[in-house]
Amino acid sequence: MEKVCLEIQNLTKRYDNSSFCLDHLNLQLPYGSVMGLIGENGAGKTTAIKLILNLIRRDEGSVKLFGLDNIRDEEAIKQQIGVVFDENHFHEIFTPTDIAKIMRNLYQKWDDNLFQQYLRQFQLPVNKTVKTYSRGMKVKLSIAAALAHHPKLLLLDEPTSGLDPIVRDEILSIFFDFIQDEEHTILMSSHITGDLEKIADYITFLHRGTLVFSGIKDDLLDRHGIVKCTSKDLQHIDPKWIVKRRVGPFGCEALVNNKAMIRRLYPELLIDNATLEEIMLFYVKGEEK
Amino acid sequence: MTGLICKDLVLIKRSMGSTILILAFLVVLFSTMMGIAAGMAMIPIVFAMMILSTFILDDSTKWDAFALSTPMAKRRMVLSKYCTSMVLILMGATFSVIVAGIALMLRGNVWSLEVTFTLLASVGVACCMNAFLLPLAYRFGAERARVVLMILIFVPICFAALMKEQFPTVSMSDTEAGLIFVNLSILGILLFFPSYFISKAIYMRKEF
Repeated sequence: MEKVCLEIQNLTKRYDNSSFCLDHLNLQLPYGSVMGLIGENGAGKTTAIKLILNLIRRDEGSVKLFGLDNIRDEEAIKQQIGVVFDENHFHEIFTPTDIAKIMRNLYQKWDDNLFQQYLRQFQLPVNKTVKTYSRGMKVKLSIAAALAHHPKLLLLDEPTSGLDPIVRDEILSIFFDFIQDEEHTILMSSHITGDLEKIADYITFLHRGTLVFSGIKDDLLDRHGIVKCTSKDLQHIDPKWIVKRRVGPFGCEALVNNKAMIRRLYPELLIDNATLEEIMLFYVKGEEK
Repeated sequence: MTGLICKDLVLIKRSMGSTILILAFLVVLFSTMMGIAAGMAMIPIVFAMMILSTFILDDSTKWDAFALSTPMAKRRMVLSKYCTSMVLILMGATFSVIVAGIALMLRGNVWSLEVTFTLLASVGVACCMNAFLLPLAYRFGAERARVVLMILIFVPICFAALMKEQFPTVSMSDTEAGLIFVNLSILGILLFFPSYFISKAIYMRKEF
């Protein structure tokens, strides 16, 4: 069995009427793990997911899922993928029963009993139309539909966007349960980095279509730190440790990529742990060293 | 693909309210102006037009992006629309037969060749209409396709209805008329094939 569930090599997409370009993206997603795809709005997260699903044409590169080419073996691959988008795509006059009838004909492994079980678990009314559902309920319905055909990979494009913290927590619990099976894998794009800090094993950061970093989340958080000091102190720090900096009226902050080394070399400096959000902000808005 | 056809039929069934009113209006209008046969001829055509509603409803929810994330190939998405279109035309033809039968019975008339020929002609027109309409819908969207449809179909029909006295009478035997109408229906069905390939080519290039 392939060790890698998803393998992307040099994936590139250019749009004719825009300067945006997803530029030679490379990443690998091992089986049984959760990868968070982060980046600001317009970074290329949705573009990457659409390229994986072959909803848009790639200009260069390759995508392999379960060891299969995503274009040549598209149908076989999609039988094993569950997808949740950031907005509801079910017609509002449909009920879950209607959705089950459609999905049953699309997926070989569609499990009606499992779908009903999820509807009960998520407390979704079976005989009401999607129009009557709240936003959180629509997302849960999408998740139920995505999970009910026993997928091996979940592709989630900002599934918790616009939801309140309570519903987000419920949804993350659902994903936690899904990932308990070591053959299950999740790729989840989100700009809510707090959710990814809870659930992700790997983080891939995209900025303006370019891969900034991709690696183990815990390593990322362990390595990066924020130095808070004066501009004079900042000048004494070896630039090779500084990723980006922010200079303000009351002092300076610098994102460093080797917190342990900085603490050893400069014990007088105050170094805070960095969250994913802070790392992202420094990469996007920080000044060059 | 069966699931997609069922999806479209459920969509049409649940959003039929205004369509029934339009249909009733057209049947009464044309029956009054040109007789029962003309009124019943509208029914398969109106049923055929309902396929555009499925395009509009699909666009409103960006259904295609979701459907293509499932194991549904683009060519089968297009084929399902054509199958739904055929089902709608058949349903319209069946409904038309029922309505005509009831109307004739109430008037004490019998089923005539004229009614049969009109039914065949309307099925042929409905098929021809959708054979042109579906590629337009895929290329330009359902709303623009609908406008083109109105211009191409209903303006000439209304013009002909208003000016029918001005046209010379063409006499032909029942057999000749029957052949024309049968051929028209066959032509309509045959046009679906090149129409499908054109629609498929358009859809395969689309991005979602």
